[in-house]
Amino acid sequence: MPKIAAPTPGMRVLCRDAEWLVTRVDPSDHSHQNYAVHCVGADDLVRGHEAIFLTQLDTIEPVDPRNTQLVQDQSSGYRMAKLFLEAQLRQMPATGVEPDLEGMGVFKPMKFQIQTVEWALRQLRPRLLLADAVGLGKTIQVGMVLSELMRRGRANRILVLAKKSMLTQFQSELWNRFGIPLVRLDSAGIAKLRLRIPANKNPFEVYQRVIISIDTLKNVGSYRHFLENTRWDCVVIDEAHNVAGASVPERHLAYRLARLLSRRTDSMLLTTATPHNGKRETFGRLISLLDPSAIPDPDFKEYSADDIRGFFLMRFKEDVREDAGADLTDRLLVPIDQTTVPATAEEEKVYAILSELRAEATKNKGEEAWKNNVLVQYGIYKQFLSSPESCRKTLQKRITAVQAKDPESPELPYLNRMDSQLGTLSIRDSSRYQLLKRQLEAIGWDGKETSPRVLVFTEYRETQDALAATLAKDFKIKYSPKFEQQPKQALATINGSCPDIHLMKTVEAFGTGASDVRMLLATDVASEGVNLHHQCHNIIHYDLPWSIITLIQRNGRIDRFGQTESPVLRYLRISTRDGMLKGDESIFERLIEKVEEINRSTRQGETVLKLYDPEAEERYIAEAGILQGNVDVLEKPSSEGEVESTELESVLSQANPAGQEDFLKFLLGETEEASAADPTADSSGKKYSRLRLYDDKRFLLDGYRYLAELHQDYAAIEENGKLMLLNAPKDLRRRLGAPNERGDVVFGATAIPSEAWPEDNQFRLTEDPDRVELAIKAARNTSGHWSRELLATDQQPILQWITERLLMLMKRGECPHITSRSLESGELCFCFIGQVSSRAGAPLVVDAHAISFRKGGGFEHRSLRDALDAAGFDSLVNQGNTGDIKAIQGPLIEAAVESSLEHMRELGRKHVDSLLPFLRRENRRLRNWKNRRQELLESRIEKLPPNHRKTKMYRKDLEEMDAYLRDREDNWQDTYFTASTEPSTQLVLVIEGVN
Amino acid sequence: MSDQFEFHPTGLTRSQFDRLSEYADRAETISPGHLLEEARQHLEQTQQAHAANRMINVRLASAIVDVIERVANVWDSLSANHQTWLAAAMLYFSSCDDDEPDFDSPIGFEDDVEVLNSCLRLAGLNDLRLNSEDYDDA
Repeated sequence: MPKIAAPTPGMRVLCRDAEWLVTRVDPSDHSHQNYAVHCVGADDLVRGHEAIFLTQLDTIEPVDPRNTQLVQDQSSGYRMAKLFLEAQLRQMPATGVEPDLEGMGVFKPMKFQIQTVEWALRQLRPRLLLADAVGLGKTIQVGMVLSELMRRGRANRILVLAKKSMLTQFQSELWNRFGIPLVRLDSAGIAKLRLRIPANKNPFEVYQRVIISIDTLKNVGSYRHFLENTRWDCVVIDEAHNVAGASVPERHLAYRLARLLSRRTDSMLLTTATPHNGKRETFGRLISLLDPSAIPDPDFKEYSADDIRGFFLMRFKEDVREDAGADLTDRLLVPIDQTTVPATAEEEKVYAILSELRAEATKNKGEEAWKNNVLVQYGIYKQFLSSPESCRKTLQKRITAVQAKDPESPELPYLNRMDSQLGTLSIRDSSRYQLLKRQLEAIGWDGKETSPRVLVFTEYRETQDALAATLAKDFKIKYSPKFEQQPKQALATINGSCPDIHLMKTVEAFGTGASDVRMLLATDVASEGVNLHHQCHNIIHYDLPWSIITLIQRNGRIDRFGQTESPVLRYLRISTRDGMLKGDESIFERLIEKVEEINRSTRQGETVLKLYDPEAEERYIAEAGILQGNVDVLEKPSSEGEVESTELESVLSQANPAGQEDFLKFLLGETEEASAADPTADSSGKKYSRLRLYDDKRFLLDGYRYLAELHQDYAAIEENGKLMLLNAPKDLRRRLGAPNERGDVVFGATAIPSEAWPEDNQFRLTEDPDRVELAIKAARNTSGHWSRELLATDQQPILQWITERLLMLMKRGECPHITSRSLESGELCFCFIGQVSSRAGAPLVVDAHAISFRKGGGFEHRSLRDALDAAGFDSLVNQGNTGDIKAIQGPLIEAAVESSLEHMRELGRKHVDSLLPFLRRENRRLRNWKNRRQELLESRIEKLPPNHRKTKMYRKDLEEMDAYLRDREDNWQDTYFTASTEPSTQLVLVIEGVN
Repeated sequence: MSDQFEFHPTGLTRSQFDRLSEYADRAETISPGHLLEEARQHLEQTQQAHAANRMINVRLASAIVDVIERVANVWDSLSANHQTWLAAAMLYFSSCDDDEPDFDSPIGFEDDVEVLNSCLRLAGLNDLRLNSEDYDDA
């Protein structure tokens, strides 16, 4: 009896007396003898149901292709055979390493973004830290990489971890632009899900593609058991610096979570604009999350450029400005003298006291009463610069505290005088507020619905509260500080106390044209990650944080990719007559200039002072600049940590491919010939292969219409210019998790985000990315994040559903038979899709080919495309000539199948051969790492007593190293590179030549 | 036995050196012709194993045997110390169970090359040293 290969995607199998379509095959144990076979029901009993069968528990019967039964296609123009073949081709994984941007999504790809995808695909195991500067479209790059991995069958199971405030933004970007549906889960969502599934079932295996906040998941203890038993194809961690910055990483829950996930996934993408804090170990830790075998030093302190090259990409605005063109608008800084006003006479009196206080504190800085008194030295001053309200609160607290501790304290008279002077001052009377009002006037902002949107930042909650109340009164705007009211008001505020759900809604409203919000008054809670540029290009720094990092992050909210207007920046500044404080103005001015210089350079803002922390920068600017009267404080880095960070930057710059003429050659560190080699090019040497008979639009229309003819409950699809309107039938609603469909929990389900599901169940699809771009903008003008129109791409879940339904046009073991006058009479063209799988069931080689037998014994092997062209397939009409099916059944099919299998065996051999250089290089790298690490750990152990805590730790490191290497062999090499012994093939069409 | 030599191969990992030293202890009793025969037999086994697993680096194994043959040709001109270490390197090659399993890894012969290169360097036969990367292609 001939050997039948294990099931492969696209195959029809019999299991538990029902027929199924295989959609995915995963290993189900470490031996790789058993598989988890993901299926969709194909016969009347189970149609549309999803299930996973374990080969160790269930008998899964694939059909032997030699026994394929031919079925005469009687449809007009052979529609059925054509659509069936197209569906087969669409479920074939793509091969090759060149990205195919055609129809990938809604975006204008930049060269540097394409390079990201190219490099990810070149990696045998895509693992990359995207460390581009703020606002350069890291999410788009994540979407591009995921799309390409999905096309290759390497990103079916995706987990995205993001900050709570970023979940909706990330989720909607991937859905609107790439058609990648992520299901958002929070703690409550996971708990609810667990109630709906058996207690021993893993909630993380219910949905294929999930987005969860780091905070929800970092409680590794609660979820550890499930996470340890879940494998992902790709894990994405957004703002990844949040998982690697802790001083004791082992106690850092987020780091432990990331490390666990790193070992449970094939691909991994980390994104952050701040990949290190100047310390080698923070960057090293991020790299080791991507690949534990990158850096031999277990403390991640010692590494060279060669150790980290290829694991990260770091580009700055200036690196990409030429490439980005109009998508990166130049920003405009309103000249400082136009945003500077003198202090009022009342304010000058306060400044005079502050100046005296500082002089006294500086003079007596060695004395106990003044020593380390940051608040007195500059803290109260900084708050007064912001607002009287902010200063007053701090001042009064200080007075109470000092009186209680030391009523004779020398600072008390100054504090009391200042309190008395502050007495009647309010934000409304302050020069800064009056300046703000004038700037708002210049912008044309009056709080009414015609006002342009403005983003105003302040450092202090008290200033924010006072400012909101005063603006509301002066501009006659209704304002409530309640969180839930913020998205509905012309003046909205967000700060650290705002619950995430309200924060997300307020941010969404600020980016939605039709919403009432005209001004977002934010503390620095909004300065990291969130996109605020969609409807806003005006930013006002009401007060000035003494930190380059904070200012860059703030400006990055509106000065980013996709900003259509020139961002306009205003830094409000007050000048004083007081001699001592007047010197500070030069420092503030230089701070602003520095931020603008960095914006025009190819370096990180953090590198100026080399402190890598906003609070440390503030302290440094205050102590080394303001208190010393040193206007050059920003001209050279702080000595603290300078040596280490300079060395780190040098290593990063040696390893960073940005700006390299041939970035691939640089990353591969190879000769030109070698860099042109391609680890996954297909058998024909093509860099990319996707055979299509229909474009996406025609496939959607023709495929759905054909299905609608067979199913009376499918409403007609409407074509309206470039738009196609599809009313989701019940089985599509159930399949893609419509909010009102309460079916059973389906494991391995793909679900469209509930917010994106149209209320009337009508999907609006188009093939025109520009149209979707407009729809995304329209959504931002009207309803928020979710576009009402979607791009019809092959990864779109609706098109995937159509593909699945069309694959079920044939029963198990059946294949369409058609005739063609373009072939010689009696010629038989057997069309196959063959696959060589890895030992773990992953596709290694997939090939569409045809075997032709001619009368008189002629035999030809061709690519499927060539065979179809020879048969005039695209223009074939069904003339009712049935051919001779009976004569074909049996030995001829058997011979064609044997020939196809031999062809696949040969492709499998070639594939393994082509991979060998890459695999050897990777294994060599691993071995080198092992040797270096082992030597390092053993030499450290030798120097320590046997029972020392560190000895035990290093021994554990050695054990973990061995376990890791075993895992790489079992779960990576075998999954993706070790070919199973027998290929599979499926007969998908027979074309018979007739007269 | 190996302890008595003043000069020994360098640049090896501890486990490679320990194993090589064990072979050096045995090497004195084995003739160069026998060592060469063992190496050829191992290459034959490698070729057979390669038929079932294309990841085995048969090209590199073959190159190692070529080098061993050339060493055998100049055997008599080598010092006793160098002969012992080179004989140990040949035994190391002929053994499957070494640092990197020969038939179970795409780089199964890299440790053999490292050991052999180290002994060739010791013997001043630098021009016979191999670069594994030159044999990465199938």
